[in-house]
Amino acid sequence: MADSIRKKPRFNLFHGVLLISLAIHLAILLHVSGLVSFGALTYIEVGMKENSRPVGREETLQNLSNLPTPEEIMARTATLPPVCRRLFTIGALKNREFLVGKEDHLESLRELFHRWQEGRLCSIAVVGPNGSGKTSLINCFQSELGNQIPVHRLDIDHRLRGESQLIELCSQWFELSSVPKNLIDLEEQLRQLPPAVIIIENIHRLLLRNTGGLESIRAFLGLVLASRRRLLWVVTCRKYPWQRMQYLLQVDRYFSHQLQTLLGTQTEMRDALMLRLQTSSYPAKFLQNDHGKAMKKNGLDQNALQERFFSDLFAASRGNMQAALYYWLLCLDYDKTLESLTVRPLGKLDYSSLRSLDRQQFYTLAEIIAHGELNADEHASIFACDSLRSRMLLDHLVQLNLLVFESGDNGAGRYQLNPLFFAPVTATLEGRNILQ
Amino acid sequence: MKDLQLPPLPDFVRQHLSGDRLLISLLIIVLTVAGLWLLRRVLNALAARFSRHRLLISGLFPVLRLLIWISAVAYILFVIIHPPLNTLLAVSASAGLALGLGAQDLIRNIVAGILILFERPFHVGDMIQVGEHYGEVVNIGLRSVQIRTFEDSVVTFPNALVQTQAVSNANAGQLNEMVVVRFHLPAEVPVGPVKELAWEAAACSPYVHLGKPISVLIEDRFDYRFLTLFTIKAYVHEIRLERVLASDILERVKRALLEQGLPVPAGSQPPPLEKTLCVNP
Repeated sequence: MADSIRKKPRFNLFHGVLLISLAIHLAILLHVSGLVSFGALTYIEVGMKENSRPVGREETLQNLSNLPTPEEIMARTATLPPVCRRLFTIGALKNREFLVGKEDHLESLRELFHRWQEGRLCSIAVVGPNGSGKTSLINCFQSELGNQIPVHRLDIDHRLRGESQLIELCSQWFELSSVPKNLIDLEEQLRQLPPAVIIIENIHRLLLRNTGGLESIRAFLGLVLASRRRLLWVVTCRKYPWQRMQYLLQVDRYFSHQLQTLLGTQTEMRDALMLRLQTSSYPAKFLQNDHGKAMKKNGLDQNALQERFFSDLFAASRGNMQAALYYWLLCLDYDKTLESLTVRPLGKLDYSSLRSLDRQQFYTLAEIIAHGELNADEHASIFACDSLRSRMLLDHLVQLNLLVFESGDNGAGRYQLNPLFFAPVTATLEGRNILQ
Repeated sequence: MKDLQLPPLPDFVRQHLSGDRLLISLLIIVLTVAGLWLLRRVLNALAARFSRHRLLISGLFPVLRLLIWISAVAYILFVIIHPPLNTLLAVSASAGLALGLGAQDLIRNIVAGILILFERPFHVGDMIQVGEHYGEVVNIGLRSVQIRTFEDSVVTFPNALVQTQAVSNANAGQLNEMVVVRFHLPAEVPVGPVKELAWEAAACSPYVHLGKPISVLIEDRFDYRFLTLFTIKAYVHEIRLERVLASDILERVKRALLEQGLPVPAGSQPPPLEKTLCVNP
């Protein structure tokens, strides 16, 4: 009978460890899935939920507009000393002075130029995300060329619709004696030009994703193919439009060499900003966070605070230098009495509100990224809706701070992705398989 | 021989089914149900957050649910109640016999359900066609499989039926699947420009998966008159949008044909059961 009498079940150490382990795993899963938040440190509030009050989708989305717009950030820089305003200018670099992490690319461009001079077939595409330093790289390359060879620097400033517009633009660019009748005539005239370097920026403006929208980019690629023995074509293109062209037109076969200007690493980003900061000669102090108790430890010296700031900055900008500069300016303050700069902590930004966007908004953002920018008519032609609906949708996204509007010459303004939201929006769209 | 004798019922109840053991067993069942509910919510949230891996995450739940239930029942049986071996054998044999005779269909469905879970001919989230029904698998249970059709109705199939019938899986665990769009035009319409236009219409749709090839095929047909059948094959990047893609491609084709002054596919025939969109003149 003794063996038939069983002990009562009771919890022992094994059960305890098992339960605690299960609870920890569950907590991690809940946190990763976004069902429960364990108080992420958010110093600049982007998607902060208001207490526990249930909020509607639109109200959640409006949280995105808590982050200042690029214009507001630029307005803040008025309080900075003039030298800082000049050093932390948003835009491409004019020369090599502040170029960081692009030395290899510059060397490749020099090498390819020499190859072309030796009569080898060359055409170069500089491809990278917006703000990754394509134009800066080209500027440095052009400044090195000097007067060695004629350089035609051309910028496609509006979207071309069809072969005829491209022919017209080319005849203006190259100051051709007679307007070419067709593409073959244009190719013939280009072959007559003396050897030169042709730098063309923003070739993403040659593509529009609608029926007939591939005509101008096809015509342009035909020109490159026909004349690349005589002319060294150097084009710049944003990453996502290039990927789109690759899928649709196998664009890489028209360019013998591609330089991928990837987004910077955390070290490159820090070096680039610290170089400018040191050049300003103003002392800078990285501040501690006032809210988080965990950060109030006395052991945090300037190096640790600086390291933490750049880690947060890298996470927020995903390595995009343009976005990083905006965040940097957002956190930068000037103390007139001490004549020094202070850098407020950035913290982890919460972009969870982005998940509340609907399908139409997601696809709109994806197409804007994949085209570089769109106007309302272009959006309407891609999504087969009327211009008014397109404009309303785009304006709503501008109000949410996700897009920025740039007014155009003939009233047709362009909508672009707000650089501050580059990282979270691209990550969200890639995660949803929308951005390919 | 003494070991094979069953203990008297009052002794068995007192020793193995006492109040506290039953209470703990009940508690474990409640915890299992609550845990599964929570797990489902977590997996749903994870699937929504990491859409690219949605099918993988959703597909985990039926297997995890089965394993969790097996673990819970085994724990209650072997740790909490812990009956003697002879009792366990006697009860399981008689229960097996009773269930086998009285609930053959149920047992067949459960066995089929276990086979489906481990053979994995389809996962939760896949688009499958069983008989006349086509839709997204929303649940794989031990007894039945449920799909949600595009008409938003949930169709339930007993597992045994699914196991014995031919099941067509459109995406086989991937997030993209092929969508076929067909349209007819009069035979005299020039094929080359229409073929190019059809390709562009598919390539320009925001819902198409550009990483996969797009093809346009031509066939001759006769239906009171000579016709050319155009078949566009493209992949949708998110299986839930397959009808949206098909509709979008056809809309673009029609618009482009109109713009170029070519005849537009008009009239319609009843929609086919398969996942194609077809219009003929």
